[in-house]
Amino acid sequence: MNQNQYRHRFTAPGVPQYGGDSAHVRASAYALLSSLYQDQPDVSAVDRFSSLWRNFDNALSGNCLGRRTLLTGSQFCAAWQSSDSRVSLQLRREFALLFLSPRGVQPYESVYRGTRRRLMDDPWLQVREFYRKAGMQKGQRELHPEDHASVELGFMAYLAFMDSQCSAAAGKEEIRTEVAGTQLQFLEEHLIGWIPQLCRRIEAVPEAPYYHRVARFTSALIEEDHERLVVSAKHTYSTCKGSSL
Amino acid sequence: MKRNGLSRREFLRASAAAAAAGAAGSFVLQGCARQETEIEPYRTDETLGGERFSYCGVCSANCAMIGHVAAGRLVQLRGNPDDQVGRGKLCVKGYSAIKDLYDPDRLKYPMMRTEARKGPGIDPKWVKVSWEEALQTTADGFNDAIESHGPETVAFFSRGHDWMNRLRDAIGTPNHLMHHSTCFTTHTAVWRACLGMGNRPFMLDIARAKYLLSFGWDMPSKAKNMSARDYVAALSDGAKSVVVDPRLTVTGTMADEWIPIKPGTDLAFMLAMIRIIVNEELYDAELVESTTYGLDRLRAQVQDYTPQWASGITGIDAAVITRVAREFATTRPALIPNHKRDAGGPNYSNSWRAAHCMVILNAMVGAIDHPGGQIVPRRPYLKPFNAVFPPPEFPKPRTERIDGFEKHPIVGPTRRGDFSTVTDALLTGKPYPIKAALFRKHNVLAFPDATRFVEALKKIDFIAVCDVWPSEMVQMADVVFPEPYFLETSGFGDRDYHEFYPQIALRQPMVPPLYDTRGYGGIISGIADAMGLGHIFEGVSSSTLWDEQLKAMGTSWQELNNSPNGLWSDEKPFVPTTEFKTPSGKIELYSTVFEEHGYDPLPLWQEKRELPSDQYPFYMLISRPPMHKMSQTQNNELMAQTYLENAVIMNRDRARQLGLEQGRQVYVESRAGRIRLKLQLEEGIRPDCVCIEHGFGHWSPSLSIAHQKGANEGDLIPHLSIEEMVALKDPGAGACMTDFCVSVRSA
Ligand code: SF4
Repeated sequence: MNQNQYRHRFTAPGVPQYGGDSAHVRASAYALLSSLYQDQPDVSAVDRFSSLWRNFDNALSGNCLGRRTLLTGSQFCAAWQSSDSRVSLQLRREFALLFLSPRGVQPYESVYRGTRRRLMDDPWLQVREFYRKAGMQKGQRELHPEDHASVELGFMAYLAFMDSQCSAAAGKEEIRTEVAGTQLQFLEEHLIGWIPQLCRRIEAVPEAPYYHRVARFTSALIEEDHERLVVSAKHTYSTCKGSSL
Repeated sequence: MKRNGLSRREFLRASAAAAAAGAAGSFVLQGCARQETEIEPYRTDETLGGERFSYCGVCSANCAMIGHVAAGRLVQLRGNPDDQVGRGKLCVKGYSAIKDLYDPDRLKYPMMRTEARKGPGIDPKWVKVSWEEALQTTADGFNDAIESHGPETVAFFSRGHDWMNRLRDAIGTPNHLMHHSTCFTTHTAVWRACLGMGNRPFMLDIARAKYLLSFGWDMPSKAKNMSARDYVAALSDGAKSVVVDPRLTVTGTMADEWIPIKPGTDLAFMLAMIRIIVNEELYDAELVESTTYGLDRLRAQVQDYTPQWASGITGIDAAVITRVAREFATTRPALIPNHKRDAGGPNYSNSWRAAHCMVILNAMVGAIDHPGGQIVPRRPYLKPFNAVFPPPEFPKPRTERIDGFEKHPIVGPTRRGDFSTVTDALLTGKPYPIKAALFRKHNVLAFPDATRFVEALKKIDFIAVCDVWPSEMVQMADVVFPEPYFLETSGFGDRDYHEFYPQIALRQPMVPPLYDTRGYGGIISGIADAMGLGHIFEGVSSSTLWDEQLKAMGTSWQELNNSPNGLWSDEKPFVPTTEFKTPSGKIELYSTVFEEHGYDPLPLWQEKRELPSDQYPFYMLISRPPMHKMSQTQNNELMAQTYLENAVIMNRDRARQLGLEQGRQVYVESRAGRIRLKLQLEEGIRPDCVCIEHGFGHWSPSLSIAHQKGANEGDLIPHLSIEEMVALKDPGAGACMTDFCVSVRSA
């Protein structure tokens, strides 16, 4: 991909004329998951998401999210009980246990795919370079390094959102094809290579039942999204539009 | 996420609105956490590369280093060639500090426990909290203790630190403890008494020595950068090295001669040496006359200590003792190097007397503050914190300390405290209980009788811990404050491990902080603020302190920052000290200070406290491997690859007699406790000894590499009551770290 061209297009996506596009659903799911790895969950926000998810039109979601993603997403939502303050404490405990005081779970790509078990190894350089080519970088106030699960999932949410914007704007099919290609590339070069492993490790920590659901939702989304993007890459965008996508 | 001037939050909100307006259901495209990930347009103005200056913070030698930063990450550390300590090199621990910086297990945010029970195997059930909450909770913990039980029930377990000392004084507690009684206070007591010097006597000019006589000194085994390289330099330059040690250490393997002495009898060897040197008048008569005090009394005192007598105690041939004494006294420069836990360190109840002999022997051959000897570092004038920021009037502590440390008049004023007696005090609540405590970088594993110390910690109502790693002490905390790693911090430090002229090294952050950390001074002033004591740090800042200190030295922060080599030096010629701050103005072989305080003014023979018995037939030795710094580096992946866990080192023939083979799991037991380790057989250790390397047996499950690797020999070290400690009449209050015996049997 021509890097400058890519950047240029990203800087001028056009005014979003937003509709109920399937890519929006994906972006929403990625953004949700990004935040769940980024910081301890805010129960009221999770609640909000859960109720929206429950009201969600399955017919539409079926177009963009796989069956396993839908199932695990629903299971994830079903687990929250906002009225119970113990849930909030439990969530905070799980977050700290998994990501702050690790029991074998470290949410950094470098740790899984680097030559050495440490931060800022080569995968970190590579993912930074990926963002740079897309004309982006992590925010200045963001403490997590670029290869942290939350930043990578946040970047994927960003790509999915760009996708949705392109699909909503007339005459953006070509850009959307590129955005789809970038998403596939990012999944293959980064997320697919380590997030499922991270999720398996989370599931192996018995004291984290809520995050087990987050992990299952995450790996389902990534794996099914990957399959879907692989299939769609084999077709021209126009033929896919409104059908499998 | 920003694009086209639209922040992520804005466009997420916009898209949510759009979605709500659309036909196909509603979504909020925002996260569910308290913060959100931010991604923004790439900017090319980032400064991502270059060289930065710092000095190593892994051990207290502080070797100056240069870091190479590429693409925003620290990729290489090397020694600063103009630094007097490291002279362009680092040791294995310094080079591998990058691994620690990027250790994913590091503490990242302030945390609080939500599980009341504490101890190994109990999940603290941490939750992340804001700095404000962590500071306020700590302040409340301290204030509750003060109001309900008195200021002395708050204790600080931390190295001395200007900010912390002020908070301690403002609270009015006498209870401030550091690890030094397990490390070198026996040397401190002797140097304070005999040389009038209060600080660490650890600067050695080994490279220029021609005869090195080591009593348990083994810095090459511990990879102390300058000592290891100077030792090799001295040997290459033709120096003779004789090592007196129950175990064949790295120092010993490189030496001309290894003398496997019986543990805890070095004092007898040295007393016999003094007798020979005095009687045969082999000492440097001119120097002894002009710079020492008490030779005649010393001569009279040592007459009973014949080589034959010493031979019976040490197990070493009288002829060997005589020859070594003569060689030592007649080869110049000669030096008995000493550093912390050598034969003069706080290992045995008689170690302080051995430390005294070391000073006497070095003084007799002119090895004190002369080239090729033990040097008093030429430190720059560091304007004291209290001179820069005069403190308000503070109340005097109204009680004695809980550990009885003030009962040792020579080291008591250092307020270093006693790690050996504190366990008893905490467990019994006598003389009074401790209700709240702050620990900084002092880990549970460093305490004698470590398991019992954990039990003692459970008696403290509130514990706050400042650390970089999720250590065992962190697992015992109510509130955890994460500190930055030294490679993320700034400051400056002098070169007192090797400082022939005043020199300071600059510390710049190599990379921005990786996590939400704060420096210790900031944590302390935050606690003070939340306690309602904010006034004690009014106008106080690191930058003002540094400016004032550097100005007093004749430089400035700006000049230091612009220094092309990251150093500031005041190169003056070295002139040996002739005046000492003792009552006689001389090096007191016969210490009038010891005499005044009721200690033996001259070294007398005294047996170590515990000898082998049928129940515990082995002497215990403790060492540590070169790639580890105490219990601090076991989670470093590189270090773990080279040395993952400790073992019980035993003499091969002795093991064969006992039917024990290499690798066998064994129990090692003392009167304090029992640990299980595998057996490592060597030829180079006396048959009546076993040795275990320190730093292992981590039980914090958050240390993903170090967890459950090896065992902590600290579990074998008996703690002492205040009465037992006082009865030892050791002016250095040494913790008797190896003055016990053990049994070994198959597990
Ligand atoms: S001796 Fe090693 S660990 Fe100590 S300061 Fe020097 S380089 Fe660092």
